[in-house]
Formats: sequence, C-alpha cells, structure tokens
Amino acid sequence: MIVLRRLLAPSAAAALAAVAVVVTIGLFIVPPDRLQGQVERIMYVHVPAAWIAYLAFFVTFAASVRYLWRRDLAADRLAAASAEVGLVFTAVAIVTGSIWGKATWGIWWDWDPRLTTTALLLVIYMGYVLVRASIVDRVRRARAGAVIGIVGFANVPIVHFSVLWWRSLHQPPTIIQPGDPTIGDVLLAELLASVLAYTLLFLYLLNRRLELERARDEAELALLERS
Amino acid sequence: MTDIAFVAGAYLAALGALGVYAATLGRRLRAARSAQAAIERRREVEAEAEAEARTLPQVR
Repeated sequence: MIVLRRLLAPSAAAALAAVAVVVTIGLFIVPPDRLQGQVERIMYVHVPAAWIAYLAFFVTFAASVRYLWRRDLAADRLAAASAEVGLVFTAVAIVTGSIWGKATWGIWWDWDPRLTTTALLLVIYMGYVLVRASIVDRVRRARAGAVIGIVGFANVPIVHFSVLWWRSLHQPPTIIQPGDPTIGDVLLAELLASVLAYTLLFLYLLNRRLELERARDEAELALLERS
Repeated sequence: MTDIAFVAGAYLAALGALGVYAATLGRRLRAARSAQAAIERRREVEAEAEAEARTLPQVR
C-alpha cells in the first residue's frame, strides 16, 4: 500500500532523478537510428509527452464521469488538475514534434490528420481551462468542466488512430498498433523507460496541481462562510 | 541546422517548458496557501472581536 502511494505521489527528487537518467541514456548511450540518425533521439521526449497527454485526458474523462455520477468535488478537482497538466504535455508533444518534423520532413508544420487533430486537442483543453476560469459558481464550474472533459476525450482515439484511418505525413504508431512493435529492442527499452520516467514527473505535477485545487476550494469555502 | 542542434532544441524546449510549469505551480501554490492563511487569520480576529463584544457589560 505504501509502495503504491509512493508510486502515485512521487517526490520531486524521484521524478527529477528518473527523468535525468532517461535523458542521459537517450542522448548519450542509446545508439542512433539506422535511418534517421541522431534526430531519432527526439522520440524519447516526443512520444512520452504525447502518451502522457492521452493519460492525463483519460484521468480527466474518468474523474468527470465520477463527478457527474456522484457529484464528488474531489473528482472534479482531479479532473481539473489532470487537464491542465495534460495541456502542458500536449504543448510539449507539439513543439518537439514540430522540431522533429523540420529535421526529417523539412517543414515545421503541416495540416496533416495527426498534427491537425493534436492541435484540436490542445484547443479543446485550452477551452476546458478557460471555461472553468470564467465560471464563478463552484457547482456550475464543475458541471461544465465535466461535460467538456467527457466530450473532449472523444478526440484522443481520433488523434491516435488518425495515422491509420487517413493518409498522413506522420509515421504510423510503432507500439500501440496491430502486430509487433516496429522498433529495435534497445530503442524500445529506452522509449518505455522514458515513458515511465515522464509518467513519474506527470504524477508529481498532478499531485502539486491537486494541492493547489484543494487550497483554492478551501479558500473559496472560507470566503463563502464569511459572507 | 545540424541534427545535434535539432535534438538539443527539442530537449531544451521540452525540459524547459516542464521546468517552468513546475516552478509556476510552486508559486501559485504558495500564493493560494498564503491567501488561505490570511482568510483564516481574519476569521480568528473576527471571532475574538465577537467574543469580546459579548463579554462587555450591557448598557441600558
């Protein structure tokens, strides 16, 4: 139980150490790719960022369902916290993807299905954060957030499978796809280790953001009691 | 630009963004906690003043 709690709420030092290790391995130890050369190293930060964005928005989706079902404000706080952290990871995925695109395709951006649906994902969750920030009433804010958190998540599978459903400049999925992963063992091990390390960082940030949401709720409640 | 510059740029952008977000989160959390403490202090002062008013002799 304690191990699980430690894993779900890692310390800043643990998250930083894990990220430092995978960054060092990804930049200096893993061999360059046969086809892409050194540029392929961007994968160890781009792919984890994209996967963690999916994970964060799934947490928002699940917590939003729980809020609408049970009217549980703790679930609403989790949904809000996860959406904001997911937004940061989506932005990281877009920026690193754009740099990788320039290095391999020769362009920073293209309106291809994967890139367009990812940009839409960013806009949806920016909308989520803005809508929440604009509603003063606590219950209305939670309800509106939950609806966007559930409807917005429909875009996540579209983003992931867009490269299979439509013709795309972006490469198809290498791991979450029918059949074996289309990646060498060493590269795959570093990629999975990176996903794990950035997941620890995500959990650390999520817990901090959750603390902030709790502190704000308590302050709001205290102000309401005074008035 | 060389491949190394692209890789360095991507890592700097990613780790920089996450670092800035973590630092901002820390600042926001400190601000929220100090606001919470100020509300709490004010509530205590008001409660004390109310208690004091109750103990004063009533003048008719």
